[in-house]
Amino acid sequence: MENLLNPDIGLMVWTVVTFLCLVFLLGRFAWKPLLAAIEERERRLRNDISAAAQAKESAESLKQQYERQLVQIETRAQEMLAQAQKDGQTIQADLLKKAQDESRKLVEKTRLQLAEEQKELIRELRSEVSQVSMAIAEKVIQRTIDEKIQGELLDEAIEKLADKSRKGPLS
Amino acid sequence: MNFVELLEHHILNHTLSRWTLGGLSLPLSKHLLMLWISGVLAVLLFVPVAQLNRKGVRNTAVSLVEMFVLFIRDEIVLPNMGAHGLKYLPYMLTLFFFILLCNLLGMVPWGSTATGNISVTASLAICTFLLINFAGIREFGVVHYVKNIVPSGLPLWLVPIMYPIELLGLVTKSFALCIRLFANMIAGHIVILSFLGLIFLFGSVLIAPVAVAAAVGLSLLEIFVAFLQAYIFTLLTSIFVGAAVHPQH
Repeated sequence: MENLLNPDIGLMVWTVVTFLCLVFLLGRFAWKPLLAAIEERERRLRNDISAAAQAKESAESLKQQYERQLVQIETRAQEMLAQAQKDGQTIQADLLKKAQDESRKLVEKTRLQLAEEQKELIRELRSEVSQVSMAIAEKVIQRTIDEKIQGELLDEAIEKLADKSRKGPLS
Repeated sequence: MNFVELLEHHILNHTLSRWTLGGLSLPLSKHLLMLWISGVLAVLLFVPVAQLNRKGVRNTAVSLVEMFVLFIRDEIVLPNMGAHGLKYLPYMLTLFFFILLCNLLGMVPWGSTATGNISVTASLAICTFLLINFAGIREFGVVHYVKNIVPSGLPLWLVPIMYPIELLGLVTKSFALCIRLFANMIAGHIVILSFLGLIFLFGSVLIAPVAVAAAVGLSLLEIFVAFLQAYIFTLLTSIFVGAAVHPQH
């Protein structure tokens, strides 16, 4: 058992040579491609993650933009609605006023017309009366002699007048 | 039955063929054969796995190796050496898997634990020692590195005392690496052999179930230790190299 701890120079040389050969061989043909592959994959993963984060961020901002736009649109729609309501009210008031004006004008015109007609009638009546008076006067002059005739003539004239006033539209 | 003979047969190295090179004896031995088998296995395992990984193939072997590689990178090299240490990552990976394969091959029938040989662990520790100094010199240049061996800011009269202590510490670290791996790998074998030896010591079959059960349990423990010691050797190498690259100021 005593050579358990005796170093064997030959084996040591062999071990170092074997190990260093292995370091070279594995380093060149195994670890280099393996580590490169791992690093490549990790880089891709990092890129993917950052790209996903970026995409999420941009989607978020897009969403916010749309929400803002939606709010704007809603406000504008409400404004437009209020404007339309106001316009409608104005138009309604205008129309009402115009109609009132028109009706008032119509009434005024009608009244004027009526007054005119009345005046006309009065004038007509007056001329008629004067004509009748003239005729009476004529007859009175013609038949002065007879009081009886005179009375008859008067009755006749009064009847005529009454007749006229019954037939005529206004007195 | 001589227990010492049995132990020697199972634990010690056996020379299979005597080769010499200019007076240096370089014998082919059982442990050297195991080292080579580990090396060939490592190449046969990791080179195809690397190719498959690069092609994006995922299977058990690829995922398993990648898991170990990521563990060594993220849990051993990066925390102890920083991003600077990534250039030593291939060395650490080779160290880890080489030790692990040697340890595990000791658990295979007819196999033998090369890392249970102090010459092998000493050689690996020497490689670590050389790497510590190489990395330090590469980082700071010879003069600055030698100055960095003692912590800066010491009173001047302490420097002559600190230099031998720090140099001794440097050697001791590597020596401890060598002994730790060697002792851990050989201890389990000795205990297993002792338990099985109980059967022959008592000369009774009745003791066999107990001894075999204990041996099985210890074998499981040894598998754990095989991983643990490969991890510790790599971790300490990383820490030492990291300390040489980033000395405390």
